[in-house]
Amino acid sequence: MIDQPNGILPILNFDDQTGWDDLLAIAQPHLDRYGLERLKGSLDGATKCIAVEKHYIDRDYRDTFSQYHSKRFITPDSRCVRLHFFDRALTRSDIRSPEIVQNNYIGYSVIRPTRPNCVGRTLLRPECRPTTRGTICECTEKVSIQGTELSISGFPFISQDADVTVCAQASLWMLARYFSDRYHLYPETYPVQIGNLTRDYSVGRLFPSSGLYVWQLAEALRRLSFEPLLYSRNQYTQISQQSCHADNFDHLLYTYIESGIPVLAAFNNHVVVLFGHVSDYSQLQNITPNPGCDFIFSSDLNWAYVGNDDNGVPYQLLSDDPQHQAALEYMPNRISQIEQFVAPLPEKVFLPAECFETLVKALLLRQDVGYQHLSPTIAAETPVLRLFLTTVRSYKRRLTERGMGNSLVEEVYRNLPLPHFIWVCEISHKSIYPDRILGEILWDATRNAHEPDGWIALHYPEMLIVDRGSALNGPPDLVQFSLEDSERYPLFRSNLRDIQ
Amino acid sequence: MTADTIQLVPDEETKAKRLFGSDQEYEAFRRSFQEQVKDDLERQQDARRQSEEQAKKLIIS
Repeated sequence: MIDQPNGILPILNFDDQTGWDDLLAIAQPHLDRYGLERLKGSLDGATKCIAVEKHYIDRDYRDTFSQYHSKRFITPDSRCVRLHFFDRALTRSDIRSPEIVQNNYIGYSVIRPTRPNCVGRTLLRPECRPTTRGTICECTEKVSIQGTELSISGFPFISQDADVTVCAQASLWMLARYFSDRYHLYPETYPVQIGNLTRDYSVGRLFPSSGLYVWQLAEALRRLSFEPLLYSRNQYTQISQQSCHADNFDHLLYTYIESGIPVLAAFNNHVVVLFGHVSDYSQLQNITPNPGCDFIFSSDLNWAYVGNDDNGVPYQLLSDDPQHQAALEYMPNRISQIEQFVAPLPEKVFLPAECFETLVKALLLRQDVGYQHLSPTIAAETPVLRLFLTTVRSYKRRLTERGMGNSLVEEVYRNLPLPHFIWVCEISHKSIYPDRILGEILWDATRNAHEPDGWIALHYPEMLIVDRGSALNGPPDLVQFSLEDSERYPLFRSNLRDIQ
Repeated sequence: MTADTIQLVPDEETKAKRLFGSDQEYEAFRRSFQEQVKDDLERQQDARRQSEEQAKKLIIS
């Protein structure tokens, strides 16, 4: 049934007579068949109702219209259509009541009058398809439908318009919009602004864009106040003397995503944004440490990444299984085809993931403060390590609910002055992972890799060691507290959210 | 108030003890720790430089 098909906000409820093809007719001339198929691919099954907001002025499209499309002889419409998706049939009156429709809101997609890709700014709930899964970074936006204010959380998506944006700019836009939606520190950046970020170090014209080199992606991120790090697969696959990973490059990519930092993953001539992962914990009992390594890592359980490919649909998986590539649920590329990735680190993270891993492994294996010497509990099984970066604000916020295994540890951590960002290495066992951990190491993320004083705390079930000197901005002063009756406690979870 | 007078937990002096007996002992720890990680960190620095170099050649369009 279609309510007010010629109105400013037609409402389609899918039933025996009304389906996706009716949307194509109502959202003309903006929506084309290719765009419709992409929407169906993203939302079919979950969507039961669509509100079509006509004459929508989209700030991202208006930016490209003003500075590019309006300069053409034949100009497209300056306005868009915005589609709002709901997971149950609704009346017009329902849509005017946020308390009724909030839980049924799946998200929105702006449909631009651009060809060949009309799907513009889109934010969908990750659960928009029954097949989406994993653990992802997400941001939240407020949306107003004729005054009805709703909120939606997910990861932003946009397709390239093939003029101002190709996949490089589209991926940069998705990454930048995630950060500006989630953190006030980062400004909202529009497509032409994204293109202009490389103005000072480009050869030839900027618009229409012919693409970017990976180093230009990194420079664009630098201009958006990030401190990007570049990783090449062929440089990092086996970097350590005793590598603990089948592929160290994949482990590092996982570590940044586990830290809530989406990355730009570059293939030969294409780039996508990866912002989540899928781990199979049922395989944990079968996993053994790499030869020469004393640890199992949480990254060993990861078999796919969740990301947005501007040529595809939101929340596709990237795996290494060739059988997956044909399904819409998966990106056409494979994990092993990623040649480089760019991790947009925040300003005050000076210590990269690979250095933290080297330092923390070395500390854990030492004769004086290592787990074999100080913690019979941890030494009883092969330790399972999970590495991630987080803010202290977020870490401290969860101290009480997690309990930290011992009230003294909770109290010390609460009182300890800490840097804005810390690297954390959680220590667990196969038998209790991923529900509980036994201890952790906290490392100052503002430290230089060559400073051996960067560890702020080393927590085993039997002992807590903290550097109270550095915490109080003085010379190192390492003190130890004996712990009794320590308990297992929950992992830190804040950077990412599980798709339900 | 100086750093020495700040307590992280009440009765800290009875609960905590220094990890290293002397400054010399701590210095020895630092030096051996640095030695332990030196080779890996150098390899990582080189990999970073090489990655940046390769990023100049990979085009995305």
